[in-house]
Order: sequence, then C-alpha cells, then structure tokens
Amino acid sequence: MIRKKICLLGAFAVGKTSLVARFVKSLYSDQYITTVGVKVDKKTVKVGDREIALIVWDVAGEDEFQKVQMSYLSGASGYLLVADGTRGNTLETARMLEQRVTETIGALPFIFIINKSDLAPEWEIDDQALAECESQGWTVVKASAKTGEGVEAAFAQLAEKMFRK
Amino acid sequence: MSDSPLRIVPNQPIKLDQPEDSASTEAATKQGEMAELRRLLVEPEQIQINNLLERLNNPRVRAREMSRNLTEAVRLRSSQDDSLTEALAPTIVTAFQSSVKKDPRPVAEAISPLMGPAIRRAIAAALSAMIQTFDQALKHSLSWQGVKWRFEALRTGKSFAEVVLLHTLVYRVEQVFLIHKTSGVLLEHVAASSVTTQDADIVSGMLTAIQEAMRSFARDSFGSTHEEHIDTMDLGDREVWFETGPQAVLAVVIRGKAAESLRGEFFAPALEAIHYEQRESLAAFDGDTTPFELSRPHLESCLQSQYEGRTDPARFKVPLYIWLLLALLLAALATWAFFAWRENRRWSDYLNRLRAQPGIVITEAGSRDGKRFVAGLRDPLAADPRAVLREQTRLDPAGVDSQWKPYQAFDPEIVEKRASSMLDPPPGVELKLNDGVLAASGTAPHQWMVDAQRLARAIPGVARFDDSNLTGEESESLRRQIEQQAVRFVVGTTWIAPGQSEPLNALTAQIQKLAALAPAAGRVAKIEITGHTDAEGDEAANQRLSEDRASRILALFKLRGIAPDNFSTRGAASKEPVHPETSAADKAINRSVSFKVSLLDARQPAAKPKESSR
Repeated sequence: MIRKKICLLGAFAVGKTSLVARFVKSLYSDQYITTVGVKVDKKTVKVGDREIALIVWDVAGEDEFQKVQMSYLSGASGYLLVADGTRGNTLETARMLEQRVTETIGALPFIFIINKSDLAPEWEIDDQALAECESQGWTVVKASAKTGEGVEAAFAQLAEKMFRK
Repeated sequence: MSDSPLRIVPNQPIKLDQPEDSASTEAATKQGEMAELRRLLVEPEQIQINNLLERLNNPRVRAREMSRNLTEAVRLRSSQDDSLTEALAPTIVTAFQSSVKKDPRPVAEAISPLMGPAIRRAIAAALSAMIQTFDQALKHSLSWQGVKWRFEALRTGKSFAEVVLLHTLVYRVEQVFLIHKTSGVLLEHVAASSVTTQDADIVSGMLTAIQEAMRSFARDSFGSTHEEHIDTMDLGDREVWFETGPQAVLAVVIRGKAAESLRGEFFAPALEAIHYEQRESLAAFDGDTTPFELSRPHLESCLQSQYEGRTDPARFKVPLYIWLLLALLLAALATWAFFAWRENRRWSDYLNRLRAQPGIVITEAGSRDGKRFVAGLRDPLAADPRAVLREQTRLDPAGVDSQWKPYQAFDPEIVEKRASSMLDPPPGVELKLNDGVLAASGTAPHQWMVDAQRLARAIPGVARFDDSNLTGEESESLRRQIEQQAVRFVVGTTWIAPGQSEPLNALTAQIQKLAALAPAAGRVAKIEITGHTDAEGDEAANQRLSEDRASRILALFKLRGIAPDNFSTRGAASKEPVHPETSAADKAINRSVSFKVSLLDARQPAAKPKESSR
C-alpha cells in the first residue's frame, strides 16, 4: 500500500473543508465549519494501476489573525492550494502561501484550485490572473465543492504529479 | 611461436609437430634443438603450469580444495552482509520440506525435546487459566456486584462478559500505531481483539497533527526552543502514549491506567527493534508501507493488558474455597457411592434370599426407570416375596416392582407344604417327604386316614404315601380298652368265673368294632390271647390249663360270630402274672386270660406274595 500525505492550504473560508468533504465522502455541506487546527481525512485513488491512499490534512485557513502552521506540511508529498473565485484577495494569500511552502519545506507538487465555480458570474479573479499563474508553471483547476465539478480531477492531477516527480 | 604450436603433456619431453616431408629434416633438427633449449629453459615452469591445469580441470581436486576453504568463505561472507543467508534460505527451506515429506521422523525426534515441555507448559497454563476463569465467573455471578453488573449488561445491551471485563480492567493496550515521524503517515497498525477501531490512517494523521499543534502551542506560549516530545495524552478513560524514535513514532492507545514500566518493558524495545530492522525502509520512506508489515510482531508484543484479580496463570493459586468446593463435591460423591453400593448389596442380598426360597425362580432382575424390578415364577405356597422384602431386607418396598407368574414347584419343602395344605393333617400327625414318599406319623382320626390315603396320591410331587407309622385314633382307643380287659376263671378249670358275662359282652363288642374299623384304614388287628394261672400247683398242669383257657375264650368268640383268623392263643402258666401275687385276691386275678392287640399294615401281607413270586 502506498500512503501519501497531502495538505490543503488557502485563505480563510475558501472552502477547503468542503472540498475534502466532497472528495472523501462525495457529499457537500453548505454549512461552513471553521476548521480549527487540522482535520485529517483519507481517500483512496488510482494512479495507473496503483492504489494510493491519500491522507488529506485539511489545515486551518489563513487570515490576518492566523497564519498557516508550516510545520503541518512536514512530510507532505504535495498540496492543494485553494482560492475563492469570488474573493480576489484569496489569490494573493495563495501566492504568499506557495512562496512560504517553497521557502520552508521546498518545492512540492501542488495544484491550484479556484473554488466556487458554481458562482462564476460573481468571480473577482479573472482569466488573465489565472493565465498569469499558469505562466508561472502552476496547474490551475476550476472547481466547485457544491456541484462537485473539478474536485476529483484536482485530486487526481495532484496524485499524478506526485508520481511524476 | 604461433607457427609451432605446443602440446603439453605432463611429465614428458615437449614434442614438435611432425615435419611435412623428408626435405625439411634440417629444419626439423633445428626445431628439435629449439625445443630442447626451451625444455632446458622453462621446464620447471612447465611442470607448474601442468600442475595448475590439473588442479583446474580435475573436479575432484577442486572440490577437495574448496572444502578446505568453504567454512572460512561462508564466515567471511556472512560477516559482510546477509546476501548469503538470503541466497541459501530458499534451498534450506526446500531441503527441509523435502526431508519432512520423505520421512518426518528425524525432524520430529529432533524437535520433540523442545515441543514436549512447550506443550506441557501450554496445557498447564490453559488449565490454570480455566480455573481462574471459573473462579472469576463464580465470584462475579454469585456476588451482589455480579448482580449489579448483570443488570448493567441488560441495560446497556453489552454482554455480561464485556461488562465484567470493563469493570475489572486495570489497563488494556487497545491499539498500537507505528507512525512515520515527519509525515504522520501510518506505517502499521495493530488492535487488540474485539476493539472497534476508526480508520487507522486518519487517527494516525490526527495524532500527529495534535502533537504538532501541542508543540507549536508550547513554542508560542512557553517559548520552548528545542523539539519537545509529547509523551502522554489523556482522553478520559483512555490514554495515548507516544514513544518517539528518530524516524518513527509509536502511539499506544491504552484503556485504564497502565504502569509506567510498560514503556521500558515493551514499547521502547519494540520501537528500537523496528528502527534497527527497518532502518533502510525508514530512511528511504516515500509512501510505501509494505515493508512495515514485518514489524507487526513487535507491535503485537505491545498489546498488553491486566485485569483486576487476574494474575499470571503460572503464579495463580487455586483459592481455598475452590478446594473446599472440590472436597465437598468429593464427599458428596463418596456418600452417594457408598449409598449406591449399600443399596446394591441389599438388592443382591434380597435376590439371593429369594433364590434360596423354595418355590421361587427369578427369571429377570435389574433396574428400570429408576426403580428396581424382579420378575419370575412363584409357587403360590412359596414365601411371599413382599414379606421377604419387608421383613428380611432394608430396601424400600416402594422402590421395587415385582412380577410373579404362578407355577407348581417340586421342591420337597413346597411339596410338603402342598401336601400339608391339601391333607390338612390334624394335630398329632407329622408329614415328612423323603424321595417323593410322603410319610405320615402320629395318631389321626380314622376318617382322616381314610381320606389321606385317597388324596395323597393326587398331590403333585408325591409318588407314594406311607402311613405305616400312623395310628387311627379309634383303633388305638379300642386296642387300649381291649388290652385292659381280663376274663377270669374258676380255680383249676376253664370255666369262666361268675359275673364275667358283662365284661365279656363288652369285650366281644370292642373286638367286633375293631375288626370292622381296621380294614378301612388299611390295618388288620391281630389279637393274641394269653392264658394265665395262679402260682399254685404243678407248673406243667398250669401250662396246659393256661393254654386251654386261651383256646376256651377263642372258641367263645367263634361262638359269638367273630372270625378266628386274626387270633392267636398261647399259655403263659404262672410265669407272666397279670398282677404280683401276694394275696388270695391276687391269685384270683391271675386266673385269667389277657389280650394283646397289634394293628398291622394290611398291605404288607399283600406285598409279600409279590416278592416271593419273583
């Protein structure tokens, strides 16, 4: 059995816990639960013909009062960087987090998820900004924890990336 | 030298190839010289080469040489790494398997000294554990506490055993997680039986996250600088103990309160062993947890537990009350056995008594439905088995079923009884059976004698009736009366004295009556008439006179119509005086005749002619 630790990072209330809930149990809860510290979940995915257990660490979101504990990332094989399409500043937080990870842990495979694709018309993050990210080598996935769009794909891409490494 | 190939022959001079024709003889000579020169120069080396070739090409020599170095080679290689062991392992396993398949005995014999004590220890431990469990069960089911726990089990829906375990639990290691230190990824996990576990991967991650959170809390709040390990996490009725190694962490979930010594005794050694055995896998860990399956035994060694009142089976002492219980049980058993034995003895004694009883034949005896039974044949005249049971044994009559079928027995005692019941002998008559002959003796009424003669022949078991020793009451009284009579005579004559006619008439009547009675009872009355005289006068004359007097009376009887056949007469003169002669009156008494009556068996004379006719 292959077991890989991955982390979810992102600004406060971007929907990380909902994404995990969607990914792990395929159900969505509208009720936002403020994650205190860390919540760990598990999901088995297939990469090629290999089964991999992804141990998903859902790390508390970053805001002006609370910084993401980088120590939670130790030993992780990759991470999902999450931003909220409807809140432009969450993209900034994501950039900052990515930088901090690279500084403290080193370059890890990651996928950048722009959540809340079901609310696309209200998005503050435009395609230009996303293209900018992609030009830096980021893999960007638009997803919605509510509809399930892009969720499985994001996790699968991360798994693939971790193995290509 | 390539144009003159050499053939190397050990211990022989070197030869050159044959020249092609005679014209080249000179060249050949030259070459011969060369060869000679070469031989002179390199012969010692040549011999060495030959020896080397011999060593290389001869497998036997090679084997001999290798055998000299093999042990050292193996030792050397084993000290370098484990590859030799790995290479040999499959061969050894196959060899072992094939050896066992061929003949398991040598292997069995080799390991039996090890297996025997191990099995004995295991059995002893199992027995001891069984007694312990029994003790616990007794303690827990009989006490007030036990009742409470039973109620709790009923209320909570848990099994009683579970409730008992929970209450008597001192501690129990429920789960052991082997966690990769940096990533928190679960490497291996074991749980005690019947412990419900959550997803171990998630728990492992959460435990790591919590540790991390605590560490950062410690850093932020108390300014600790170096990496602090968390040793224990208290979760109410459970504790999580962490044992931290360089690359892996052991998280042990314990229910209850365990002694700190567990750490040094089990957890730390297990983690150290894992670190040593898995050093390469741990150093290169990248998500593949397969190698750590080999660490399961180490984790399982941490699954310790202790229950209240439970001690090491080896040190467990059988409590006194179990001994008492056992002794009580034995005593009860012994008592039961004694009573059963006594009852059996009484029963067989009863059966023997019945068998000894004439007229009882036992055909079947035994036990059925908790009751004893006896069945057989019984002559109605035999002893009553119930009476024997009641009076001669101490068995409970209610516990015995009897079934008797009537039959006629031929035991002498029964035949005697049967005769007695059928003939109903009067008092004074004794019946005795001897070899089928029923003998009656004593005195009986005449009519009874007549009936007995007839009936006796019809009694089963009686071949003959012998009444020769039996006397009829009436005949006997007549005999006595007749024998008391005396007819007196006038002195010196055969004239009957005056006044004698009355007694003579009575006598006649008695004799006639006796003669009539006797034949019916199978008797014949023989009467001897003896004449007497007084002592006066000539004895020869007296003799004559006495004979005449007897004949005179017989003639008189004849005259009165009595058949003379059964009479005999004789004279006794004065030799058998009827009365001692001391006076004239005595003399008168002695001038008389007296009578002697013999009642003889009438059948005897009838039998005699038969015997004589033979």
